[in-house]
Amino acid sequence: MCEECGQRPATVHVARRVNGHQTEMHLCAQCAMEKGEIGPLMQSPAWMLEQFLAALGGLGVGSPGPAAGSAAGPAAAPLMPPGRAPGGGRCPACGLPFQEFARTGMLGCAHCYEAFRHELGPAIRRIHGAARHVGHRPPDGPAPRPSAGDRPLAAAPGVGASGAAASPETPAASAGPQEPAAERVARLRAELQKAIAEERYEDAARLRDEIRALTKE
Amino acid sequence: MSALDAPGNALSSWMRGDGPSSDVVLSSRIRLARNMRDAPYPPRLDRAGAEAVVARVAEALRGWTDESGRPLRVVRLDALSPLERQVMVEKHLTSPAHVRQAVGALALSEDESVSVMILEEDHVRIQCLAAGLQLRPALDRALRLDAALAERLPWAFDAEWGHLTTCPTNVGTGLRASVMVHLPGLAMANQIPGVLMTLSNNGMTARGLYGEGSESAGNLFQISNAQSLGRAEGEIVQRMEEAVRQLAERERSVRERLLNQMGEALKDRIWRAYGVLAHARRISSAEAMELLSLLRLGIDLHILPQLDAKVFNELIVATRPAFLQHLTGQEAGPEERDVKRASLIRAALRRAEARAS
Ligand SMILES: [Zn+2]
Ligand SMILES: [Zn+2]
Repeated sequence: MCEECGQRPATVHVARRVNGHQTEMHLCAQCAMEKGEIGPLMQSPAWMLEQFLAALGGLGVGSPGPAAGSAAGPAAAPLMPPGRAPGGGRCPACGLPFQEFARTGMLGCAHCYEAFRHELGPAIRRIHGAARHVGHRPPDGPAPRPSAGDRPLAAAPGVGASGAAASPETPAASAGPQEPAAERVARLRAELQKAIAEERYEDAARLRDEIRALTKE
Repeated sequence: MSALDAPGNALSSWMRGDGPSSDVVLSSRIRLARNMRDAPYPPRLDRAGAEAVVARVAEALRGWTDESGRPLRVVRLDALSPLERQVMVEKHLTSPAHVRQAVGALALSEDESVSVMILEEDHVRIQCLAAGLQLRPALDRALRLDAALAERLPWAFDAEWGHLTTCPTNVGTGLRASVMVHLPGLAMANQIPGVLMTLSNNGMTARGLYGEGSESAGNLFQISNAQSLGRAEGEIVQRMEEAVRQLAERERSVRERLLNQMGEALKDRIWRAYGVLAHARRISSAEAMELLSLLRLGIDLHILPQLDAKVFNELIVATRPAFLQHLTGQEAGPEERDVKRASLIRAALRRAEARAS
């Protein structure tokens, strides 16, 4: 429920880092717009980076991205996997300290992705709503791994609570028992178009999240 | 620099005012972010490392030609004056972040529709521009250049996360597709917040092109995809084109409605804007943008039959502070700039009317 008006469902989750303190707000679209929290700022590169850093810092804040509307609310567990001291370590190749990356969001070299893989995985999934590249590959680029390669990422704690993280290996599980997944997606897409045309943004956001969860590779 | 060899040429070919849906969509842009796996990323490059990256990318670009068979010209940033760099930014050929780099270079095609930023936030950012709503052709051109570079440079690529960019917000395709749209009707009808919300709900972001945040000078907005991972390049672009086509449809219907409802009042506003632009002796950048937006609306609604869309596209670039300064060839104070700007606009309108008659 929206913290501002207490009347409409909260579909916009805003993470902020002010003077080193993490804060979060859960607002309905209307209140968010009135408070200037969405519109041009939402989904902008700066906003995405802010959300990314918040996720990296272990704050379980949903976003208007695909993770929104899922079970991952303020109570979600920190995204850092257990058994790894958060903020420890450096990239062995370029020497970038994880702490510095967590502050700037900028990586130091290609190997940083391997060095910080466990921290990066959930945060990448949170802002992109996806965990797997689809599309062009360079000629020398490695082929996609079999989907079992996802397991460590999909099983990361904190993400497991999110509906959007429905295990990619079992897409059939997300389809309703009576309605085939493809038909359900088509129906939801039509409803989404209608909701957008009628400017029912809360409905649109919910439908979009449902579609994303269903079409997750 | 071709942009600077021809002073007074504010218009790259992709800004000439034609192309699909050009009554709403001024231009389309594709950007692909790429890095090499065997070199530190720009934030951790020292000077020697940065020079080495510039040299490798420049070498890899050698021999590549665009569709008309012309090569890219590589210019080091430190070979450009601060003013020239600012002009490049105002013409959208590079970014403010890029021209701030101590070491870097820009490769540019002759028609300025293809550019490669070397050492921006990433080692390489390929950029392709096209007039009107043409994201797909721009994407194809960018991927063609990417494929050529990938044969010579070891792109940092991961089976799971795709292209490994400096900032993980760009990971995957490394693609940012953008369109520049002119939305005077939706702005007049106070529908911009709703539009922004709809776009945001569909994984897109919009910002005022010249203003700060939600402020937009001249009702110009840039719309881009937010997420770069999890969808193929073609799908990202197709979804954007669909959304932008719908947006253009909505803008057109609002314009028609405004014309029906306001009638003479709207025509009066447009002719007054024309009157000021055609005769003023001093005009600020902000006022010029506001009036030029009305002028363009008048052109699209056939209220100002003596003008064409090209004059608007030319003037929104030519009246920017650095370009203006570049045109006048001198360091001008704000007051002097306002005088120059007014004179430049008057001359451009006279030329446009001569073209039409
Ligand atoms: Zn509310
Ligand atoms: Zn590294």
